[in-house]
Formats: sequence, structure tokens, C-alpha cells
Amino acid sequence: MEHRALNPIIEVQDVYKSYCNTNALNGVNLKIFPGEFVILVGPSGAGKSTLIRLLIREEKADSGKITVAGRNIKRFSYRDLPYYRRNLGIVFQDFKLLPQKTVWENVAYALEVSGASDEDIVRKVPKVIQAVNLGTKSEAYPNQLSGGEAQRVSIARALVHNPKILIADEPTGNLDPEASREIADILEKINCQGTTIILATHNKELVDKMRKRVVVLKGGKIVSDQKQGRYTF
Amino acid sequence: MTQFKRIIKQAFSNFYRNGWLSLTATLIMTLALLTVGVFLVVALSTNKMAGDLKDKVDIIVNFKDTASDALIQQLKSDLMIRPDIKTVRYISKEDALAEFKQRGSIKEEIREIVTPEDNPLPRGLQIQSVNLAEYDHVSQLIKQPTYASYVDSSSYDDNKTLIETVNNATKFVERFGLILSAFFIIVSILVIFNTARLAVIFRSKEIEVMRLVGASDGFVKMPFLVEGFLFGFFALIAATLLIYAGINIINTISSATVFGQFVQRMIPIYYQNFWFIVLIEFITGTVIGVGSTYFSIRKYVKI
Repeated sequence: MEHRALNPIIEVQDVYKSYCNTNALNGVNLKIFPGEFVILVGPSGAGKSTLIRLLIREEKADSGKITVAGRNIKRFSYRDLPYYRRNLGIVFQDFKLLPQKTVWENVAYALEVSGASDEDIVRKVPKVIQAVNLGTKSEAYPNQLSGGEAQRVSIARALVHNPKILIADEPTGNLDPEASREIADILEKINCQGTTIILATHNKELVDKMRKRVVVLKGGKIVSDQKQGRYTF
Repeated sequence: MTQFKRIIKQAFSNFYRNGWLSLTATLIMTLALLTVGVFLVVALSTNKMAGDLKDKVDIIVNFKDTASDALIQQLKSDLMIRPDIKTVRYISKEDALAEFKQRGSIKEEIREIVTPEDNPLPRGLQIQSVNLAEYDHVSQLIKQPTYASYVDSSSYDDNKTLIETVNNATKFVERFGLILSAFFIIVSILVIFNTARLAVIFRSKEIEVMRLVGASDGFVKMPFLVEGFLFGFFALIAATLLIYAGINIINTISSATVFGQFVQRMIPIYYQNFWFIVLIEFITGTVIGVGSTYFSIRKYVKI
């Protein structure tokens, strides 16, 4: 593939992580190139979520090295973290929306934190809300939305600052099949525009349909890595 | 500037959304500032009144005719050296006579008896001290053998009881006010501290989300701190209005009583020191509000 010639945008080298003597990650090596769509699968406790927590620097690896866009993320200080995270788009299973803000405000918040101007916010927010088909719901609060809608808000928030990388941890975990398909479509569209996507999921149907690179984690190790993989482990 | 505006906006909306919590915190803070304010007004008033009284209280030492002028001047200069003595005035026989003639309460016949040629009025020193305790030193000084035999009388003992009463009352008001203020300040620190902590725990998920979408430490913390400041600020307004209204109401309904008269004397002092009192309350409110929020939030914003 042509992007193999480029430097990886994410490189995980020999990463170990354990919690209370249980090894969650057991020597993981992974290269992800710009523009790739990588699906992480594996049974519960395989280490998918741990890997994602390490990637967004919610936690630090015990040993090994994770490089994102050429920078060793372990070296970031507490103060650097917000700046690092502003370059990522993060989507969670439980949406993590701010309950007392409207759809519009939730999306705008991701821009506000980085000091974007009001004009910038007014210009970008409606576009991205439109892109996830929530144009009519901008004034609604999270508790007035369905699971699928809430997840689309969370994707809109993750996208609004044009991140190079979008990381989604079980984004369809709480959604019905139809809503899941919608989310998958949106993610594919975003990927087509050049955003690198890392998707951790349990959704077999989705994985089989998408035919993307599938990385299988088991017992904290990568046991398979296929270019157009299927949901198997 | 944009960020500042956003932080302020968030703080106000948080204050409004957590209505009951904000109201409780503001009420307790109002109570604390009210105590501080009332204490300040009363303390300033009693101080002023005691000060006025102290200025009026003086000691007059009268000398026997056998005392030489030099001795009197010696005592005068001994007294003047002391830093706490405000003024020492020498009263000659002529001065004493002039003052005596001016006193309206003395009968005409008696006034006639005393003439410049036959003047039984003693020479004296009128001593005014800044510090009430200094009067004791003065009294000791004139009881020294050098002076004792020449001193006819002194008004020290008459004044002593009055001076002590004033001294004790002032001290009592200051101590009682300080203890009461300290008590309410501690209570409000505890309440604000817990209010802020509850708000932070209640919203710890939100704080986590804020951090994960890239909000800096300051951007997460500042709205909480501004909220803490708002508790103090609104309490300041409430406390100021209550004191203002309180003083005026008491003045209207009970002006005839002793307490009413005391309040009446407080009013000009309150107006003179209005901004000083507001400033002290503002500082107290801000320190409690922002300080306790800062300490309660510090623990939770670490993602």
C-alpha cells in the first residue's frame, strides 16, 4: 500500500501495562499510518480499552514507547496534555457529553477550550452538527436525545477541531444495529477525508461489513493483524 | 479575553444551575460577613466613643502654695518626656481664677469672695494621656516623695473608676466581636469548602470530560473559583444591605432607649467608615470563597 512509505502516525513499541498484578497489555507492537482505518477487536479484558487509554494519555504505559505524530507521548507533562488531546478526536461508549449543555454547546466546548474565536465557533459548529445529521437538534440537551443521536454529538465534538486522528472506544456499544450502522457510515466518511481512525469494537456485524484493517488483541497481545480483516478471535 | 469571557459565563451559568447549593453557600457567607460587618461597626463606634471619652478625661494635679514653680515645671517636663502623654498644661493661679469666674454653676457671692489679690485657688497641671493605662503611671509619679508632700489633690481617683469601666467595655466588645466573627468565619469556610467539594464531586464526570476534550487545568478550575468568588460577592451585597437597613430600622423604632441612642451614635461612624467596612468584608468574602474552593477542587482536577 502506498502509505507504507510514510512514517507511521502512531507507533506502539513493546508496551506493557498491568493493574494490580494483572497484565492488561503484554508487549504490544503496532504501527498505524496516516489515513488508515484500524479496528481493534478482541474479547473483554483483551486490552483494547487499556490501549486506548494509553493512546489518549489517560494513563501511562509501564514500559515501552508510544509515539504519536513523531512525539513520545509518555514524556508529556500534565500541562502538555490538553494541547496533545486537542489534536485528537475521542469518542467514548458512554458518549461523555456535558449533561447541562445543549448539543450546540457541547460541540462548541471542544473549540472553546482551545481558545478559538467566536466567529470560528459560529462558522464550524453548525457545519459539523449538520454533517452528523443533527441539524434539527442543536438546542436539545443530551437527556433529550436517543443513544444514536448522543453518539453522533460526541462524534461531532470529536471532529469539530479537525483532528488528524479519531479514536473511538466502543462507540456502538450502547446502540441498536441501525444506529450502529449510521455511526459506522459517519466514521467511514470521515476516514475518506483523510482522518486516521482507530475503532475498538465488539460489533461483529460492523467489522465484517466494513472490511478494514482488523487488529485482534487477546490476553494483552496482538494475535492477528489483517488488512481486510474479519471479526475472528 | 475571549477565554476570560467564557470562564465568567460558565461560572454564572453554574451558579444559576446549582441554585440551592449556591443559595446555601451565599447565605452562610452572608451570615459570616454580617458578623464581621456588625463587629466592625460596633468596634469602631466603641473605639470612637471611648476615644472621645478619653479625650475628655484628664487628671488635674493641684499643688499646695508651698510648692515652688520650679518643682511644678520639673514635674511638667518629667511628664512631657513620656511618649503616651498628649498634653500637659500648666494652670497658674490667674488661669485658675479666670476659669473659676467663668463657671456658671457658682453663686455670685462666692465668685465675689475670690479676687486676684486674695486667691486661694491652687496652681495645677492638667494632664491628658493617649493611653488610659498611662494614667496609672502619672498617679505613681505624683505619689513619689519629691512631689507627694506638695500635691494638694488630684482628680485621679475620681476618674479611675470611669476609666476602668470604659477600658473594660472596649476590651469586652473587641474580644466578643472577634470570637463571634472567628466562629462564623470558620463555619462559613467549612460550609463553602464542602459546597465546593460537593459541586466538584457532583461534576467530577464533567471535569473528566472537559480534560479529555483538551481543556487546560485553568479552564476547568477557573469557573469554580469564579463561582466561589460569586458566593462572597453576593453575600457582600446582602450583608451590606442588611447592616444598612438594620441600623436605620433600629434607629427609627427604638431611638428613645439606651440601645437606640447607642445605634444613633453609630450611624455617623458607619457612614464615615462605609467603604472601609465594605472593603474588609470584600476581602473576607473573597478569601473564604475563592480560597476554600481552591483547596476543595485541587484534589479532583487531576486527569
